[in-house]
Amino acid sequence: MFENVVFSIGKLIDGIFHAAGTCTLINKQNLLVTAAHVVNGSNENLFIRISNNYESGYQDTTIQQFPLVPVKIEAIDPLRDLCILSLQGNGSAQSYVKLGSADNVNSGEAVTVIGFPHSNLGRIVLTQQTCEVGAKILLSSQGIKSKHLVLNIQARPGQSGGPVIRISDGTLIGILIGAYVPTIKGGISLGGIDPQTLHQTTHAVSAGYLERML
Amino acid sequence: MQDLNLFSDQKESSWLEALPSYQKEIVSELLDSKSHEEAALAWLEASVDNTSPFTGQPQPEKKYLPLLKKEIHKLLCGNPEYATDRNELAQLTQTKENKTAIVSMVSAVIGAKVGLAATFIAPAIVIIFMMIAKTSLNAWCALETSEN
Repeated sequence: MFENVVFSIGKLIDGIFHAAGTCTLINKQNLLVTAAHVVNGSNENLFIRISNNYESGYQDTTIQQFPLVPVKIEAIDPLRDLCILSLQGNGSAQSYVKLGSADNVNSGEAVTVIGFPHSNLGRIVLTQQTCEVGAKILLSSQGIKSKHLVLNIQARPGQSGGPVIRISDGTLIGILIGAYVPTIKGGISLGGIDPQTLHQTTHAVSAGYLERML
Repeated sequence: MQDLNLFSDQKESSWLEALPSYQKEIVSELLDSKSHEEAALAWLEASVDNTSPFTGQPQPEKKYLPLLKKEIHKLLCGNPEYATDRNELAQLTQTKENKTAIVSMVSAVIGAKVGLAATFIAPAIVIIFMMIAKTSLNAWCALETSEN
């Protein structure tokens, strides 16, 4: 259902696609939204991967060749961790996904989170999760506060930039940005995994900040 | 060296008008509580507190501000590497109310050089221009040369 709307985004390096996160085609011509940290401020070798591996509803994980479409940063807000991209090339596309805001959702409401968990490991599978909004919070970046959602679900690398869809009306109300971690120094990594991220407290920034970036 | 008339008769804050409104608001808010240098760093190195990003790629160490200042110094202070761009910039400074075009041009030129998107570095370029406008281009060129 979302395979023509939600895409893996990453860098093409030496002919190999390195997934960096998730992005969503919205209801504006050729525009996609993601998290700013996914693109790291750079357009270089930035592509989305088109899903052409669906067979009777199943994603064929043995297919390794995918069409790639270049994208370009149109607007970016690193403090709120939001980015708007445009499709490059001759194609033209848009989806039905409308932008909403975290203002429109209440704690306890059901939302759908879509993305590509574990795509940093090469497993690029479009995955849909359903959870509740655990809380609405203000988080600070460089002293500037922004509206965020706490999602009652565990997310993994590759889901950054993914859409949080309000089930009741289908609007995109948030962009997944990461897991809660206390700001402490000297953390550890086990097999490339930060144990502090292994819990069901995932942060998403309100999509309400995107409208003024269009 | 092509003479650049970039910073005469301009309040430093007028450079903010060159940014789209959402960036202008953020930079203004940063400058309310931070120095120019700190505000530029805050924009370029931002991360949300208490949040570990779930990107699929390792986050590079961001040392963008010294890089941008170095390239702006080359562009504005006479480095032959940017001679053509400096001539184009001089043409842009001939017309009034052209800050948006100037910031767009400088962001595009330097962004292409350092591998960053013009729209990402534009706020930092504006903040650096505000720093220069507080003194003078000649003084900034001399100071930054001695610091580099």
